[in-house]
Amino acid sequence: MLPLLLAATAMAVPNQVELVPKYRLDTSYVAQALRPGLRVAAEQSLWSSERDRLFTDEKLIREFTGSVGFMGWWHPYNQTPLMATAELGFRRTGTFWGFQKEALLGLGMGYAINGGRTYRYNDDGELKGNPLGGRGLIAPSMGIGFGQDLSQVKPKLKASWHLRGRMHYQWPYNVAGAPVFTVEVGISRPWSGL
Amino acid sequence: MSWLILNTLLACAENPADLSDYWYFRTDGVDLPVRVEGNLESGVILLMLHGGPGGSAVDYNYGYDTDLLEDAFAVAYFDQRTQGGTHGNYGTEMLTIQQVATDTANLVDALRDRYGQDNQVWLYGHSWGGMLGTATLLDTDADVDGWIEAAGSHDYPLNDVYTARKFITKAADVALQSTITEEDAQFWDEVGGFAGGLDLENISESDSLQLNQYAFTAEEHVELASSDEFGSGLLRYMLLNPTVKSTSWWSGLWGGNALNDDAFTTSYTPRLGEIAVPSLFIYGDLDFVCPKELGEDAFNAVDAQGISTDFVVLEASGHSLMVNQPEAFAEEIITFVDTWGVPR
Repeated sequence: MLPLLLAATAMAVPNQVELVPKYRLDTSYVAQALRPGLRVAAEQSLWSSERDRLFTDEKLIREFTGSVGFMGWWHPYNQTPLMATAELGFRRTGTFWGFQKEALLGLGMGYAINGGRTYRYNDDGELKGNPLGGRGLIAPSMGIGFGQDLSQVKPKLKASWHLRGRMHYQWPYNVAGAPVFTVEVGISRPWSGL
Repeated sequence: MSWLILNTLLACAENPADLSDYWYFRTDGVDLPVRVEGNLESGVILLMLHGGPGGSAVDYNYGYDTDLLEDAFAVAYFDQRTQGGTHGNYGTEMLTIQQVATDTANLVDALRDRYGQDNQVWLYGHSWGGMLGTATLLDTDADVDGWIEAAGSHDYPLNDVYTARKFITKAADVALQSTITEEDAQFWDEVGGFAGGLDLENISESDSLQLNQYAFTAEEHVELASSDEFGSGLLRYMLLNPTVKSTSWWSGLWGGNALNDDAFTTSYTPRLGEIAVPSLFIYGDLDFVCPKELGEDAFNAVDAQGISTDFVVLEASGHSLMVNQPEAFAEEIITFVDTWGVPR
C-alpha cells in the first residue's frame, strides 16, 4: 500500500493548497524491535494556522492535534502491554509535497499481560496459574514523527502516512519505571471519508 | 485471543523427556520468568542462577553445554529480581541478597509443586550466581538436593584478594618471558602494577570494580579454549529473545548496583562448612574474575564436614568455562549429579 501511495505522490502536482482534514482515523502497525503491535486512534485537529514559507510559494500548515486510541504490542515470553492512549501533537505540514514533521506527547494506561502463565501461591498455599497474569501500567510517552499528507499533492487521496518513533516510560517496572521504545508506520484517513 | 494461542504454541511441550515450558512465578511483588527445558524424566532439575548481578538466564540457555545438560536433566532458567525479563512493583529495600535468595527458595518449592515432589532440585550458579546459591543454601530453608558452583564468587572481598594476587603472579611470570607480544606485556605490566599497589587488607569499592574490569580484559591476553559446537538454541536466542536489551539494562542497573553494594561486604567463606548437600566446585584455571582458589576454599570447607564434594579445574577455561570447554564442563556436572544425587 505504502509504495503505491508514494508512487502516486511522485506523479502529483505540487502546491495544491488545502487544509488537512480535521478529523482522522489513524491506524498503525507498531513494532517494539521485531515484535508486532497495533495502534488505532481517532485524531482531531485542535488548532491550526497557515503561513507562507520564506522565499517560496509554499504554505506551512501548523496544527495542534489531540488523539485518543488503543495501542498494544506482543513480545513473546516477555509481556503484552495493552493501553488506552491519549496524545497531544504538534504537526507542521508543507503544501508542496505534503511532508509532515510532528512531535508527540502522550499518556497510556492499561495492563501488561505476562508472556507466560503466571503462577503464585494462594492463601491456602496452593500454586495456581493465571493465563492473564500481569500488572496495571501507566506509560507517559514522547515521540517524533515524519510523514506526508497525500491530499496536498493529489486532492483525491484523502490520506496521510506516517513513521513515528516513541519512547514510553512504563511504570511500574520492578523498582522503577523502564523505557520502552516503539516504532510505528501507519495511515490516517479523514473521519468523513470512511 | 490469537496471542494466547501463539503463546501456548510457543511455550509448551508436554513430553517430559524433552520438556519445554515457560511461565512466570509471582513472589513478593515480582514476576520471575521461568523456562524449564530438558529431560524431566531424569528426576533432576538444575536450577540455574545466572551471573551479574544485572544479567539474565537467557544468556545461559543457548550454548552447546546447554544441549548436553538438557539431554541429561531438566534445567530451569529464571531471571532474578529486577534483572532480564522480570516484571513487578516493589521498593529498592527488596534488592538484597537475602531477598533474592528467598525468591530462589520459593522457586524451588514451586518447581516441585509444578513438576512433582519426587524431583531432585540442584542449584547451579555461575559467577554472581555463586553468591546467590551460597546465600540460598545457608540463609534460607530451601529444600535443595545439591549444589554446583561454576566460577562462583561466594566471597567478594576474598575474591578481590585472589584476583589481585593472581595478577601479581601472572605479571611476574610474563616479565620473564621473551616471546610475548608487546601489547600483552604492556597489559600485564599495567595490571601487575595496579594490583601490587593495592592494600589487600582494605580494597576499596572502586578498586574492586577496576580489578573486575581488568579481570575480564585479561581473558583477551591468555590462550583460552574455544568450541566449534553451536547450541541448538542460538537461533531462538537471536530471534525470540524474551528480554529487551535496553529495558533489562536499565532495570538491571538498579538491581545490579544494589546487590553489588550488598555483596561488596558479604563473605560466606567462614560459613562454607555449613553446606550440607553434595557440592561440585568447578572453576577455570585462567579465570581472573573468580579465581579457582575460591572453589578450593569451598571444597576444603565442605569436604571437612564429610559431605560428598569435588573440586574440578578446567585448564583451558576462563570465567565463561561453559563457553570455553562446553563438553568437559557439562560432563563434569552430569557425572557428579549422577554419582551423588539421591533419588527422593
